Amino acid sequence: MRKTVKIIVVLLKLIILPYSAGANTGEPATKYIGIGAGWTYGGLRDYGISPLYYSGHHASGEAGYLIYSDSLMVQIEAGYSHGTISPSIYPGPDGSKMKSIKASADLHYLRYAGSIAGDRIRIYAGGMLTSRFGYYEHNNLMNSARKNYIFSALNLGGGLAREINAGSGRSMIIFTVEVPVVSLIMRPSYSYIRPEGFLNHNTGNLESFFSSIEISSVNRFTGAGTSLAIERKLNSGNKLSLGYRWEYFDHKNPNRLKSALHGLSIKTLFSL
Amino acid sequence: MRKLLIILLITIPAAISCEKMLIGDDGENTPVNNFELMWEVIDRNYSFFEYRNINWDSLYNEYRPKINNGMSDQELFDVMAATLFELRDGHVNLYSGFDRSRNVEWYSLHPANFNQELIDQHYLADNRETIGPFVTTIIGSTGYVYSGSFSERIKESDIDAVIDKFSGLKGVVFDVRNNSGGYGSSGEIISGRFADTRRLVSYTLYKSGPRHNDFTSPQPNYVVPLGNRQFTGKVVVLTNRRVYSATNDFVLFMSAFPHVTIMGDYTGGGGGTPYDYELYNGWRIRIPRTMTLAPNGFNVENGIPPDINVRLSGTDERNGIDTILEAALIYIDDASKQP
Repeated sequence: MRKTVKIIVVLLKLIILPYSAGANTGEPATKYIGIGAGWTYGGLRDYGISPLYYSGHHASGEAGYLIYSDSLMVQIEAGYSHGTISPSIYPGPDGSKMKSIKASADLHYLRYAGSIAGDRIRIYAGGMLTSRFGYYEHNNLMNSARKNYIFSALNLGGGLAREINAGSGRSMIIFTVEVPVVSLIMRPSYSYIRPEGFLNHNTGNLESFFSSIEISSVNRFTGAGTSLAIERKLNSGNKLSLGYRWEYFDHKNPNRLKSALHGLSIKTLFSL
Repeated sequence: MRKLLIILLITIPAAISCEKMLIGDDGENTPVNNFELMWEVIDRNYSFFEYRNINWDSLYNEYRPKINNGMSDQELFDVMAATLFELRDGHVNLYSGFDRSRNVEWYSLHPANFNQELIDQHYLADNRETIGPFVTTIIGSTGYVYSGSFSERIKESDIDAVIDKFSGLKGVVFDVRNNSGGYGSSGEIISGRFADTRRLVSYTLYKSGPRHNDFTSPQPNYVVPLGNRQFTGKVVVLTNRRVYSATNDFVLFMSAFPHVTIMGDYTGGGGGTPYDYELYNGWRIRIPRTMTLAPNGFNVENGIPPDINVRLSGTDERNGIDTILEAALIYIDDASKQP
């Protein structure tokens, strides 16, 4: 536990250090409210619910608050996606499909750390707090088997930003990457079967979900995330953003879960 | 700019192609892989290896050599079904597109202790009233209800109507013989109409890890009084070995009430809630992945013992008498005479 606390402290310092070290040029920050929608394709193998690799499409939506300046990149974003996943190995009948719901909440805090390519590419470094909620349900089989998880990960993160002139306006390409270092996870290793009944009087599943809480480092929870966004400034001062995101995580508990997703989104960033 | 584009062009395809490598591919759809997957899924998830003293490894050694990749679907099904049969569990099935394996020893090796025709002709006869899935009548001043299946979801209005009909009677005989289960909600919905107060009725343990004894701590289940009114007079629940699964739960819940007596034979059991897993070829196996304990810790997987053991006599049966039902009527009659 003491080791975990040390890791958290060091990580927080790493987040704060670029803040003090990064050159603050004093330029005004631009703030945006972003709203968008998109599509994700996700796959998982969760031994707590099935040994098969499940994958499927999800519709997604997201909203966020963003602050950009030469020295700072802050993104607070929340997302939601809904879809169905099915076994990849055989064309499953309807009965094999699982309902899948995901939600996310992210805080990206990146400070300017330097530049390369003659100042054309700006480098950012810092930390990210990423939280994920997942729920999937085998509701077409004999009994409804449900599984859910929540994790919040403190990540080391970095980013590259490059302004480009394309067409009649200015655009920016932003690439970020993050790696979770310490994570708070709630995920019982087993899926709970909800036979009809006991809905009002049995809190056991809920208690077991919360009692599964653990703080894990990379030995039990590993992952990575990358994103790429192309933002184009519009005449109104707003921006249009086209983004791609890839995520992967691996939770090593007795019934291991590995999950990955690809996501495309289009967002409008309304300048405040 | 060029460098940035190069980084991006490398990163995105790498991320996409890494996914399968990171998560891992499913095995190929071959008879050997399907058998191996079935064996592994059961090894990690089945609840009753220790309770039934089953050596799963030795069963692998016995049946795995019978599998080869040249065998037909029917041959594969037969070997896998034979492997599953060894678990001797009514909640274990293999579903293919053309067949379903099953083990019915939980009732087939025991006396029936029930004759539907006898009940129909000699007790229900023309005085029956069917309320949803319940067939009811009044024998003397005792209510009788037969519930033969929970395969349809119980409507609360139906069981409330049964309780209303029996209101004021000196007792109720609730006959669930040959009811092999169905909806898990049935037990709570019906027993709630006989609950005098909120009572602990069972514990559920979930299989929580790959080892055979990996279970969660027991999670308590309660039944509370449900419906507009409850019947809290003398109640006798009639059971036999074909009482299984959700109906076994119902009997367990009812046995928690002090005014309820279980009469007849042991129930068939089936206390583990089954769950389906798919194989590479789309077949499914169904195995229990929980255990149910009575409030006193008794594992009900192999059945619930009756409070009063009564067998259906062959002579009585031939004479149109249901020994077990008659014993229940006498029991209620005697109980009503006591101060």
